[in-house]
Amino acid sequence: MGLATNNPMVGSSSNSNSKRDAASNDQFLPIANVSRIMKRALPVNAKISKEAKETIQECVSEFVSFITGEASEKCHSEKRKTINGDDLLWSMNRLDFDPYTIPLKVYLV
Amino acid sequence: MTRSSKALPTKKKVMENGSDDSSCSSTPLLVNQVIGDEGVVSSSCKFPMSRVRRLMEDSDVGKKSGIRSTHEAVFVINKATEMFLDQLAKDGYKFAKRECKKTISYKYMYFVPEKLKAGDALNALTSLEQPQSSTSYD
Repeated sequence: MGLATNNPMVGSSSNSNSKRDAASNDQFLPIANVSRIMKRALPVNAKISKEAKETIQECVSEFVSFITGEASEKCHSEKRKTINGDDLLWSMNRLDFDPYTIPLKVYLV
Repeated sequence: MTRSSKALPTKKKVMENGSDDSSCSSTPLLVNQVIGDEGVVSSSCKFPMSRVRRLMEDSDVGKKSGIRSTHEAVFVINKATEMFLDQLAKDGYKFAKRECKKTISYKYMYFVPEKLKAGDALNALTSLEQPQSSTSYD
C-alpha cells in the first residue's frame, strides 16, 4: 500500500489529500455542499484550508457509513432488508450520537 | 398519531429544547440549528439524496447484505450529517481560535476521529506529536 499523509481519517485509501481525483470524490459527499455548511456554521471572517475541507468531507462520508453500518446489522439480525428512520435513530443512540436524535425525532412523528 | 413513512416530512413547529447546557456537544445548539429562527423545522436537505443513498447502500456491510433504505431513512441520515458537520466546523473553529488563527487547518481537526474510531484517534494523536512523519496504512 502507498504511504498516506498523517491523515487519521484515511483507513484504506492510499491517496494523499492533495491528490484526489474525480473518481475518489464520488465515494464522498460533494465537497461544495460540505464547504457551504461549514461556512454557514462559522463567523464571516473564518477561513477553512482545502486540507481541512477534504478531511471533513471524508469524515462526514464515514459518518454516513458508520451509522448506516450499525443500523444495517440490526436489520440483518432481525431478518429485515430495509433500513428505516427508527433503525438509524437507534444506531445513533448506540454510537453516542444521542443529542442528534432529539431534533430528528420531529421528522418521524 | 399515524405516521406515513413515504410522505416527505413537512415543516413542523417544535418547542425549544430545554435540556441543560453542561455537555460540550450542546444539544440546544443542534436543535436551534435545525429549527432556525421561526421555530419551524426545515425540510430541505443540504446533500444530494442520491449520493447519500449511494454511500449508505455501497458501504462494506451494505454490499454484503444487499441492504436497502427507505426514503425517510436517507432523509434522516442527510439531516444528521448536516448537524454533525455543523458541530465539527464549530469545534474546529474553537481550536483554531485558541491559537489566534482565523483559518481552520488540518492540525485543528485532530479531534475529528475520536468520535468515530478509537484506534484512528490514537494514531492521529501519535502522528501529530511526530512532526512531518508519514503513516502507512495497510
